[in-house]
Amino acid sequence: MKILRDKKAIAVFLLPAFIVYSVIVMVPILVSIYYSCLDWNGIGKKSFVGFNNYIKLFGDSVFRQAFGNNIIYIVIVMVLQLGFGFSIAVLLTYLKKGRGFIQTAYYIPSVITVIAISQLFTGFYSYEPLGLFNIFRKMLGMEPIAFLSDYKTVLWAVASVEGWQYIGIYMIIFYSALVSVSPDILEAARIDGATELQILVKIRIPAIANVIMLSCILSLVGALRGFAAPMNMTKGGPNHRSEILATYMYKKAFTSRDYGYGSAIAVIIVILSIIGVLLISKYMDGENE
Amino acid sequence: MYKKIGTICLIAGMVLMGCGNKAQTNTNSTEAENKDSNVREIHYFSSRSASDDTMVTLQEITKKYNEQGGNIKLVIDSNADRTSYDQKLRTMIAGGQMPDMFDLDATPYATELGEQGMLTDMDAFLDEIGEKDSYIPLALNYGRTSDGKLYTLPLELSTEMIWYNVDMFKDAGIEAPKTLDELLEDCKVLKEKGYTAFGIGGGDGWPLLRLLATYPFRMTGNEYLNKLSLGEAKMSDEPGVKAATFMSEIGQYFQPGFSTTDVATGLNLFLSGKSAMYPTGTWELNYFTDKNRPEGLNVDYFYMPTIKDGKTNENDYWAFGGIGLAVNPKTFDDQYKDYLTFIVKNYSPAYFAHEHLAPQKVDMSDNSSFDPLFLKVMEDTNNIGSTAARPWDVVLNEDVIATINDNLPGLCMGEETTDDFIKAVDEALEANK
Amino acid sequence: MKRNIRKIIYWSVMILFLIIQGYPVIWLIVAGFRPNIELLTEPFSFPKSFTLENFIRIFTESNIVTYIKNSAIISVVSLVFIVLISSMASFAIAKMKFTGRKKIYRYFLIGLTIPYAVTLIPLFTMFAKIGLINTRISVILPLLAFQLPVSIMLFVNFYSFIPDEIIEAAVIDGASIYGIYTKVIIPLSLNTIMTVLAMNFITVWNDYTFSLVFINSTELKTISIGLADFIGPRGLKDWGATYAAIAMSVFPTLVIYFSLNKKMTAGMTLGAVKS
Repeated sequence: MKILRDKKAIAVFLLPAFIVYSVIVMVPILVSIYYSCLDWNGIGKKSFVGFNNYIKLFGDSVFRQAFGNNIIYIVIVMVLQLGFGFSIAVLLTYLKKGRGFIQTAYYIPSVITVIAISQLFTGFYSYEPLGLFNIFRKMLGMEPIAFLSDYKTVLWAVASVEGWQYIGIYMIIFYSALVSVSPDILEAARIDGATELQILVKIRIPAIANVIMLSCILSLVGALRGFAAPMNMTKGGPNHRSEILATYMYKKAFTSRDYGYGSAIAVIIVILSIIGVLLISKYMDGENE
Repeated sequence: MYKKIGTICLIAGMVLMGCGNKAQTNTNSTEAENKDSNVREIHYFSSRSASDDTMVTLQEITKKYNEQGGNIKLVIDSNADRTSYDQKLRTMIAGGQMPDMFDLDATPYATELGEQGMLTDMDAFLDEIGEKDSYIPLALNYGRTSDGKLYTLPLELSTEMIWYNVDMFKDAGIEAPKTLDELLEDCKVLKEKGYTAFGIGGGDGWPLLRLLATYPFRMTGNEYLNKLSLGEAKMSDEPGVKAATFMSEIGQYFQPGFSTTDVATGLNLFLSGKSAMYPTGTWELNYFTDKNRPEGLNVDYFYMPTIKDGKTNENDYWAFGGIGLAVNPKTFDDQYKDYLTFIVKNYSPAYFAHEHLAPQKVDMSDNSSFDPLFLKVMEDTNNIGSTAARPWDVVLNEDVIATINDNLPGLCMGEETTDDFIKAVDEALEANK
Repeated sequence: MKRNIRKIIYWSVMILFLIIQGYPVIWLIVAGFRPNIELLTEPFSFPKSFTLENFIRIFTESNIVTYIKNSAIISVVSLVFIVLISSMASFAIAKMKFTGRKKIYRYFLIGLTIPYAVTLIPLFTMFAKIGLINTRISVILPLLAFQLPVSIMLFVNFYSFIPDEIIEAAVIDGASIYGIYTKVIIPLSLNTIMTVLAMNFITVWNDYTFSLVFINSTELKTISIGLADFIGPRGLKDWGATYAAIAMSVFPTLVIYFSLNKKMTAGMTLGAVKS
């Protein structure tokens, strides 16, 4: 239809979003690329150093550690959000009464500011005064652990917070998808003697594959953006054991005032993000065809 | 429906314009007022909360100034979280948005700003108004950068001490330690008795830094630190090694999880009788007075322990003027200067009246209303030595401090060796020469 | 018998999860009513006493009312624009025909993954140059821009379900392209709009990063940064007041959530489910 090819109308609809988004999100990324080739402390002269910051980056053991931590961080967050979100959604479909209430209650943590959540979990993980988790450990006869100081636990502890907080979102998405699967098919399968597990694996999961994919994207990008929880709880410590790329970038740029180096880390984060999205959107295109 | 959407758009448009305009109108109206009545707004970007007594005092003085014909409105924009304050100030200045007045430590950053002519020289200002002698040298000189320049005025005078639980010490059969070795020994005894020997707010960074700095200060005064900052010394030199070793030893007596314990929780551990010692400064004095302390808690304090053959004396310890007040030279005109002069002349007596040590000499003859503990600490400051210990986070580059802050908890927990720690710090020092 | 055991297990899991999700939130709200000293000594024991003192303190000694007002203004304005321009762009992407449509969509999707922190330095210098620092616009613009990708994704996803026949019919009736958007598309997508509003409200209201970096003056501060107002010298924090302020900041999100959650769920079903 001709009306749908109206160039002026396309411009009217598209340009406001395009301009705001380009100027506020994309241009700064280009500027970051420029900054990443500078040696600049924010007040003195900017001097051009080419790829020096990137070369420095690859020799920086803290950067490598942050990179590794970030991958673990993403995995933990995704497993928690998708795993719990899905399991609870499946369980919910068997519920006959009170579904609305339970759904509502499960979702609440997602609406609370991460500042409050990280404050709260710092308390939960605390050793002195005894935090909630350690009260449980004591009840079970185990020694308390200083979760946020212990090298072995800190990354898990920090990542779990973000993972836990958004379980509700994925629960709702999965649940909505699951109930949209035609009950007739399920009923037919039951009559044929299929167990609930078989129904889940053979009918329900394939039926909502697209939604699962979408949730993976949302969860992945959410985890890649993770920053506030580790920053507020441990500042990446102790000894970078909970350092992720975003916290390291922030500290380098804003605490150490090495804007060039911080920008180089920022560029790496952006590249990772773009690779992530491209991979996923490629996969989605394949699905659609 | 169409109408509704249209209305929403319209409202949205108006609101957004309103937002833009509002900021605009605000400035416009201020300008208008300026012309009419000469009210001058001074924006003070502060690292202290607005209810802090320093800020309260400044507002009191401003009120007094205006009663005597002045016309200043002191607008305090405070950012009490120190880490974010530092970051914010740096971003503001990098973006060319230096406030009229702000808090600044005499860090290498201040030196850089000063070299760029972005700070007002306070030596010149104080000489001009003839008020330099009114300051306690210790407080004033704390604000000097490593090249000896003075860009800030002190608003407080603080000393730091370590509090201890008298009953726990009695129970363990020990006395307040005189030396660092005794301190470690006392910790050991206390631990064997089942006490948490040392409660510390490690999550806030500075308490650990103070302990790290203790050994080098006792060995060399501030010399080693200054050399570190100039790149003439390394962490692997003797004072640095001693400092790291000391931290790895005392670290085992901290409460578990200390690296994320905030200062308020650390203080409370001590006040609720859960730790035997707690390092802090005079700004928390209020919590230890007979009136405010929990009943049945007997406490006393000692200052920085010494070492054998040290270079500094028992009465040299942590004492300083706090983060100082810096002035943007671009807006420092005659009116602002007159106002600041008034502050300098009136600040300390007013601040002292709030029961704090003041950075300037004040008339203390009428002190009947003060708490005995306050008077005792004040008496101590009268006998303080001439070499005050300088905090590392003021003298060293931010990146080096960030590295130390990142690596120190691991060292204290015994997860990192002293060699690991020293290596990390030396790399940072090398990178920031 | 077997069925009963199953039932018991089922309900234990549901209730356990309810506690895991609900307890922290209840604790947060209650904490504001507990005395400082209790929060410091035994935060997780059953509350012994309640007090309004923390709330009195934050309302009398801090500017929390101003902060709440600022957060509200920023949220409302951002939300209106987010919905407006993302639905417009999504309409073009999903229903109109032009080359590079997919590329444009992908271009927007990149923004989903960009962490805020990456843009802070350039944005700050940019805003400083044009005098936007310390205005509400300096917070609204980045929030708007960063929320566009997720909103566009939801809208595009939803619009692709709207059959082209509906649009064709409207064209035959003589509607202009703008008429189609306002009279056909918007009324059909009210549920999606609610979803987008609710999801974005939470992000926008809870924003910390942009307000922290771009707002300096007390007059314009939002509630998230106001939470840091209760820190005394050298990090000495007033926990009672902090938790009271947290409760104040959490309260509006809960209200919005409880009044909109049905719409939200309904919208999500439409937006996220392809069958």
